[in-house]
Amino acid sequence: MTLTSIAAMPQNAPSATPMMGAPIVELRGISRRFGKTPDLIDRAAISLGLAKPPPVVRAIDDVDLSIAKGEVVGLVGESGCGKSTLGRVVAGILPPSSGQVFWNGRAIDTLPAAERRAGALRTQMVFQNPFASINPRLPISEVVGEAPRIHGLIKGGRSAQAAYVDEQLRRAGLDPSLKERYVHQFSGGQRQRIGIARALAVQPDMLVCDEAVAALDVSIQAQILNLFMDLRETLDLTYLFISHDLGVVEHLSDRVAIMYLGRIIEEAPTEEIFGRPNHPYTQALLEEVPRIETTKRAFSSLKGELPSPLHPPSGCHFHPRCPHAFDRCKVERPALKTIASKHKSACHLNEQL
Amino acid sequence: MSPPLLELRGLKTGFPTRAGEVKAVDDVSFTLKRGKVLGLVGESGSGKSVTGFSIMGLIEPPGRISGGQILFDGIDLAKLSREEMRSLRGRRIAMIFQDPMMTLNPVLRIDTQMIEAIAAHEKVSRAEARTRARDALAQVGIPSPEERLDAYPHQFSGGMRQRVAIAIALLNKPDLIVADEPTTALDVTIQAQILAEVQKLTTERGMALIWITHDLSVVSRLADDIAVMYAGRIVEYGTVADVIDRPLHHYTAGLIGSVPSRNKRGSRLAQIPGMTPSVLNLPEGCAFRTRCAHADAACEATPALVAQAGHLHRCFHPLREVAA
Repeated sequence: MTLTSIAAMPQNAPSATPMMGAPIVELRGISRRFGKTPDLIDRAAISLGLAKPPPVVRAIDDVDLSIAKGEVVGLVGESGCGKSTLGRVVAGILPPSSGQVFWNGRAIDTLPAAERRAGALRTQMVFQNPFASINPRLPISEVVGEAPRIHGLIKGGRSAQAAYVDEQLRRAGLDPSLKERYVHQFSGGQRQRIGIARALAVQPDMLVCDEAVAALDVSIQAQILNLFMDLRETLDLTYLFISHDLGVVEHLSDRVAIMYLGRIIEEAPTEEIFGRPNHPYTQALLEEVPRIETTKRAFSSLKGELPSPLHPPSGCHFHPRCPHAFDRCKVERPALKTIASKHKSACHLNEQL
Repeated sequence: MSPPLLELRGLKTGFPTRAGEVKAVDDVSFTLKRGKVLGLVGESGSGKSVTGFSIMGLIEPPGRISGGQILFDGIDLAKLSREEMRSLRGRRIAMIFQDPMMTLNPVLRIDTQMIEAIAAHEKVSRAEARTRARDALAQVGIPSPEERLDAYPHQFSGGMRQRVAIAIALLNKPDLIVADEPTTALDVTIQAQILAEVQKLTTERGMALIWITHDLSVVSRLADDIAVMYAGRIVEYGTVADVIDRPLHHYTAGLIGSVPSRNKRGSRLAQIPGMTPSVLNLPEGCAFRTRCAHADAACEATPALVAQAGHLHRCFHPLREVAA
C-alpha cells in the first residue's frame, strides 16, 4: 500500500458492520505471504526466464476481521489454514505483508514507535505448548515477573514485585509458594496456567489463545476453560480464541469465524453458525464434530484433504471438495457477503437462490 | 454364544523404579467378541496404552506383566515365548499407533515396508505381496495406490500416513486390532474419514477392535462397549449406552461433564478438581477419592469391580442404584 493511500484513509473509520462496541482490533485486507525474497541475481535470472520465481505460501489471503471490546471471537480451521498466522498478526508479533491493522481505530503503522510498543503490550498471547513457550531455565517468579518489571508496571521495590507476581499466580489458579520452581516441575495444566499468568502480568486488554487447551486432558481442559471464562468476567478481557475444536469454540465464543486455506469463509454469531451454517465447508465441519452420543451411526466423510497452500485451487479454494461446486466456483473467488444480520459467508450458492 | 476372541483376566503390568514398582495396569479385565469395538478411555497416565502394549507383548523389560491372563482365542498371550508372540503379532493381532511418522521407516518406500510385513509371516512371491499391499492401500481409501506404493512416508500427509499405517495393520487380515489414539493428531475432517474406514472394516471383516483414546466423543459413536480407566484400573465398564447415558462412577460422570459440547454455552464446565495422581504414590483405597466430592471413610478401602445388570463399576457410592 502506498503512502498516499494510507493518508487518504480516515483514521477513525467506523467498522463496516455495526458491533456491540468499538472494535479493539480491526484487520483490513490483511495478507501474509511466506517465501524466499529473490535477491538481485535471482531477480535477474527470473527476468531472463532462466529461473522460476520462488514459491510463495499465502498463509493469509486478504482477510478482514474486527473484534469488539469484551467480545470472544473463535477462529476455527484445520491445520494449515492460516489461523495461527492470523492470530500472530492480531497479537502484533508478525507484521502483515499487506493490509492494515487498527488498534482502537488507529492504524498501527501510523503510530509513533513509543505508542506502538505500549500498544503491543495490550494484546498478549497464550500458546499451545507451554513447554516450548516458557523459558525452562527461569523460575516461575521470573517467567511471570520479568515483563512487567521491564515495562515498569510494578511500582515499588522488591517486596512490591514479589507481591505482584504472587497476585498474578493466584489469579491464574497457582499456589504462589511454588514460584521458585521451574516449568518442568509442573503438570500440563499448571504449565498452561503459568502461560496465562505470564500473559496477564502485563495487564493486557486482549488475549490471543492459540490452541491453548488442545494438549490438555479433558478434565484439565475444563478447568482451564473455566479459568478463561472467570478472567473474562473479572478483567473484562477480549479474546481471540483459535482452535480446531469446535466444541470448545462453541462453548466459549460470542462470534465464530471459519477459515479455509488462508481465507475467512464464514463469520457469524455462535448460535447462528452452529444453528444455521451457510458455507458447505462449515456444514461439513459441523457434521464431523465428534459429539458424545450413544446412537451408533456411520461417520460420513468429507472427501479429500486441505490442498497445499503453495498451489491453492483457483476460484473458491473449497471447490474441489465441495459437493455443490459448479463452474463459477472454479474461476471466481466468492466474496465474503452479508447474508443475514451479522452473518457473512463466502459462497456463490447464496446468489443462485 | 460364541466364546470371546479376547479376554483379559486381572491383568497387572508393572515397571520397577527406584521408588518401588509402578503399577501401570492393576487388575484389568474385559472381554471382546469378534466384530465388536471396545473403547478404552482414560486420561494421560491412566494405563490405557500400557494395557494395549501388554496385549501386543510390547512391554519392554524391566517392565513386565506381573499377573493375570490375556486369553486370545484360548491362548494365554502372557505365557508365550518371544518367538511365538512374534509369529502372532502382525498376523493375528495388529496395532496402530498414534504417530505414524514414528512407526513408518522414513528411509524405506511404502511398498518395501508393506511387502516386508507380509513376507514376515507367509511365503509369497514379491509380485503377489505387492498386489496385496496395493489392495490394502485401496481399501483404506488411498487414491492411485499403485503409484503411492513407490512413495516415501514423508511424501504423504498426516491423514494419508495414518491410512498407510492402518493398511499395514490390515495386511495379514488380523482378528484383532489395537488402535492407540490413532486419530488424535488429525484434523476433524480427516479423523471422520479414518473413523468411517475403520467402521466399515469392522462390520465387513468381523474384526475386533480396541480403540484407546482420551476422547469420549470419538468412542461414543464408534464403540459397542466402553471401559473407563483411572490410575491403572478400570473404574467403569459397560455398553456405550450404559456408560454415557447412565454413568455410575463419579469419574466417568466428571469426564462427560467436562466435555464442552455437553454443556450449555458459556456456562461453567463441571470440572474435576485436582489432577490425575502419580501412579507412584496413589492414595490408599479408591484412587479417585482425593478428587471426588462424594468420598467418605468407606473409600479408604479399595473398591471392587461390582456388576449392576452387566454394567460394572468400582465405586462405593455409585451415582444410581440399578436393579440387578
